[in-house]
Formats: sequence, C-alpha cells, structure tokens
Amino acid sequence: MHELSIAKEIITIVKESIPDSTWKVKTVKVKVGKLSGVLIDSLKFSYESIVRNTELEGSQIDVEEIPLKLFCRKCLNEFDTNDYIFYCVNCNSSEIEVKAGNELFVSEVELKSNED
Amino acid sequence: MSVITIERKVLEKNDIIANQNREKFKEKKLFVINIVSSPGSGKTSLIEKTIELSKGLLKIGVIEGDVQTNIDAERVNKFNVPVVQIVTNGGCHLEANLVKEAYKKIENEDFNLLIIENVGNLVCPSSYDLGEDAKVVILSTTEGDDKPLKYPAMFRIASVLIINKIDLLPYLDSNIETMKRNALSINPQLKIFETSCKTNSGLGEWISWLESNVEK
Repeated sequence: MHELSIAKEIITIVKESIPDSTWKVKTVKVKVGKLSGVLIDSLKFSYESIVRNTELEGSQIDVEEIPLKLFCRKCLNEFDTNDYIFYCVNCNSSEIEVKAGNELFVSEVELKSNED
Repeated sequence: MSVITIERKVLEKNDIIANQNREKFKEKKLFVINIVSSPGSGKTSLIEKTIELSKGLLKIGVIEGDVQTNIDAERVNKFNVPVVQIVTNGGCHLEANLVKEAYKKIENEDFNLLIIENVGNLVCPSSYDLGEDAKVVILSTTEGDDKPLKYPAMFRIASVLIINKIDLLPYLDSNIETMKRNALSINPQLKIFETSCKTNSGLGEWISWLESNVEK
C-alpha cells in the first residue's frame, strides 16, 4: 500500500507546476509501467481521497498503463509481453533489457483558468 | 485552458537522496545491501547469523526498519555491532531519506558492510532506491515456490536471492527446483544461495560472497 505516498508525491509535483492562483488543475496524467509495482485503482483512490478540501479538489487523475516491452541484446528482437518471463521469445536468450514497463511519472497537467 | 507537459518522475526526490547516500557510502568504502522479503522469512535471523559467523572477516553495521517496535535492533544489539532502528509508524517500506538520517547515527563507527533490513513486504520496497549496492531478496521455503511469479517487480530488481529455511523442505510441498526456475525466469542473472539459519547450511557461501564484495 505505498500508493498513498506515491499520490502525495504526485500532488507535490502538480502543485509545483501551477503557474499562479488564477489557474486550477483539471486533469493530471500519470504513466505507470506494468513492472512499477503500483496498483492503478489504489493510486486513483488515494489521489481522490487526499485532494479533498485542498486546492486540487475536483481535479481528475488519468492513469495510463505502459505495457512491458523487452529487448533481446543477443538477437536484437524487441517484443511486448503480458507474462513476466524474461527470456527472448525468439532465441530464448536471457540477455534481456526492459525497454518499457518500469515507468512511474507525471506526464501532463491540464489547467483551466479561473476566468473560463 | 492550458496543458503543461512535465515528464517528471514521481519518485525523483527519493532517487536524488538515494544517489547522495550512494556517494556517501562510496566515499566511506562501504558495501551496502538492502534486505527485502515478506514478514517472517528470516531477515533478522540471517543478519544475526551473518554477524555471528563472519567474526573477524567482516565489520558490520545494521539499519533495522520496522512498522513498529525496536525488537529487531535489540536482537542485533546483542552482537555488539553498530545498529539503528527506524520505526516507520505504519509506512510499508523504507525511503532513502530515512536511511540517510539513520546512517548519520552510526557513520563514525568502524564497519565495511552496511546491512539495511527493510520492512517485511514484497511489493512496495521494490520501488524505493535507498542507495544500496544490491537488493537481496529472501524467500523462505514455507512461502511456496510460486512467489517469484506473484511478485515479479521485486525478483526482477534484486541481484541476490536467498532461499531460506531449507531445513524444512522435507515437511513441505514446496519444490526448491521450481522455486529457482520461477525466480530465474523473472531474473536470469539472480545469484542464488540456499540457506538455513537453524543448521547454518549455505551460510558459508553467503558470507564468502559478502567478503568478496567488501573492500578490505
């Protein structure tokens, strides 16, 4: 259950991105890799719970899951997988690099002006 | 309306402090391991045995992490080594900042191997770099041979796997070969030790590995 601390870090990053008080946060886009160890539903729940009664109240969190993409250093094959098997599907080599799936970052913050 | 593209890592603050820790440990010529596992797999027992059996070979300092109590620090303290307890008060993992503060309390003591015992949890500690050289995951035979497949992030990020409580294998349905095969399918580079803190089996190899990584 570290999603609560992850949500707090996201909120800190979002607050730092607001230019001034004439802007309100509408949506926060977060990218979460399949291998990052973060439960998306739990992250959304944590975010929604802790923005209550703060300047971010009413903002939405939009989480995109990044699938696991592996790269074989031996035969240079790049492939997506749903299984956590780190062998090349082509040559069975174990020299595998994780190309995508470890991500955990805030990609975008959508703001609306108070005058809108 | 306005969209700001920021691309900022959520755990960037933790990563910055972890790198500062790493620099500091390097400067002090310390080999640092972060021991992770589920609760009750034998992290503290392994630390006790490591201290006991490596006398004269390794100089050890310990940072203990727990949700509550200083029971573990008291256990380790009996061996007269520098030890600090971190109580996370509900937090399910250690963060780099907690380790930084804890290390300050023992940094002037004489040791060349720092063992950090993380909070018992196979999920959350995988996301937090503490500045260690290696994550060591312990899996005890009683937990079942399917666990690497259920917690892939942890087994992928670890460099060492210790299969503990092998003395219990005759009484269990767990198959150690299946356990190893499952772990290696997630992380083919894993260095594996098979140990028992009851019979001391396998602990010699484990201590030799630590010795080979510690700067004399």
